[in-house]
Amino acid sequence: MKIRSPRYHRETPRRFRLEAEKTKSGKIFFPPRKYYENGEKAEPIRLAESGKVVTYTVIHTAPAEHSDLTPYAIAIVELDDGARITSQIADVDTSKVSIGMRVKIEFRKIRTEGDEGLLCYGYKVVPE
Amino acid sequence: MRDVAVVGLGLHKWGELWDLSLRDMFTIASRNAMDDAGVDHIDSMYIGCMSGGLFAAQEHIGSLMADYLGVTPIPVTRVESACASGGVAFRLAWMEVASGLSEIVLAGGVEKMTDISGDEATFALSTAADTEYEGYVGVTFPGLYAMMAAAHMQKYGTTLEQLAHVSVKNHDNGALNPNAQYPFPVTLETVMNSTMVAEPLRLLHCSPITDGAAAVILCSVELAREKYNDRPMVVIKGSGQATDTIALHSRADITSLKAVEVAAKKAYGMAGVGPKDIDLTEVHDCFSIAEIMTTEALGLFEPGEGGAAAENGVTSRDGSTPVNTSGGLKSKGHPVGATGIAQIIELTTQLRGDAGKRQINNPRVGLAQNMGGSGGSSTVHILERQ
Repeated sequence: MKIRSPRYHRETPRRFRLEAEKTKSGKIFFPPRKYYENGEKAEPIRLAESGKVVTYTVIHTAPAEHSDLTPYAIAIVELDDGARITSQIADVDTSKVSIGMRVKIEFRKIRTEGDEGLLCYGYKVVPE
Repeated sequence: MRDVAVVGLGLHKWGELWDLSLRDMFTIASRNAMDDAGVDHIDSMYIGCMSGGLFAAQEHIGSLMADYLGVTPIPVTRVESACASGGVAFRLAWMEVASGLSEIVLAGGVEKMTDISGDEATFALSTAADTEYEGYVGVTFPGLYAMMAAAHMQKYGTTLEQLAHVSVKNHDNGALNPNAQYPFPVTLETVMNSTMVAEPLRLLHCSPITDGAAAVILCSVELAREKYNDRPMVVIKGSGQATDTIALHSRADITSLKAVEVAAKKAYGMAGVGPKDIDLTEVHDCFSIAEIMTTEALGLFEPGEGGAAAENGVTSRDGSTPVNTSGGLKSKGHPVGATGIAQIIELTTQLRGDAGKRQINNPRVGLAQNMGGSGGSSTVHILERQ
């Protein structure tokens, strides 16, 4: 599907700068929400840049935008501040990935979108 | 609220159906349901359809289907909750009859998935996940369920053999279902050596891409007793629906399905029954791990015991807790919008005693569980033969 660039740029505060919000009760929301349960207040934070693999898979059949990378590892990562993200694990032998493995976030190219070849960036994790 | 009965069932043979369009399939299933019930009209329709737009370049499903079924100007509502669209359509149809607003309502579902390439279908399905924070980074639906499987294996010791047994069992059942897309058995070895899709899930752990439609007719029990009484009466005793976060990573526990648990609790409470009272269950086995996790979420098994149940034959047709006698999504096929309705059809067919070679022994209470995305939405319905 052809997506115009405003949709991509709208997400850059999260994808480029890991901007999140932490509510008064201590829960981190990534991406931040426009409204929190019961109107709870939240303050901006930046996500921790290291964490560990909670669970993972190795994708062999990928969508067109990612098929040149197969097989690639994807994980749910719990960062050291408790927030969780879904991310590709780059620069790794996929057979060596394990639950509990330490990883850190790096800024990487994610994919190329549409006929215009829009280069899309964001976060990936690599072994720490 | 009044009691509501399922009085008509309409299906057709599912598969990769080059000769049948979105509108053809829905019309065929709906006519079959109306003929099965013996109704000469319907007051309204609810149609589960995940993505007429992305799969078949067609929205405005309500007008289209009313037109082609020849029932304009009745109200028709198209319902979307990803792969749970059919279950939600059924629930809304039930509500409309239960409330007394309408007498005879059709609940249907349809998806035409093979008019586009496999890549495009994979993309369309991926829109049921969080597009910006899951799909963007390259995770697929098999990938999301694979991550649930890996976590479940780590926490409970669930094995690859147990996952494969789910597929083997469902194909054994589907082999006896003339409407199934893949009506043949598969061996454990074939499943365990099939093409890798998203580790640890292989091709034969995954439900297929399917063209298909399904429809049922609902009316009040009162009207059913009076006019549509030539079959054993099947009544909707409980209905539950719930949501969870769209992204899998936002959930505190990746090895359980909260939306299924909440929907089940509501349905059990309304029906006044518990897991031990259920004679047969149709669950949303979009991937083998999903059958294991949904049967646990429904309370049929303790957390971590779902895999062993499949391996030990507990969920087989002749086991103590039969699951997916239809063949499930795995063997019967998974035209996403139609799946929730087809589950109701299997339960009703079994409760009527009409399931032929796959009939189980005299069931009285059945449960259907339909799920959207990676568990972001779910419905549970409990049906009883009276």
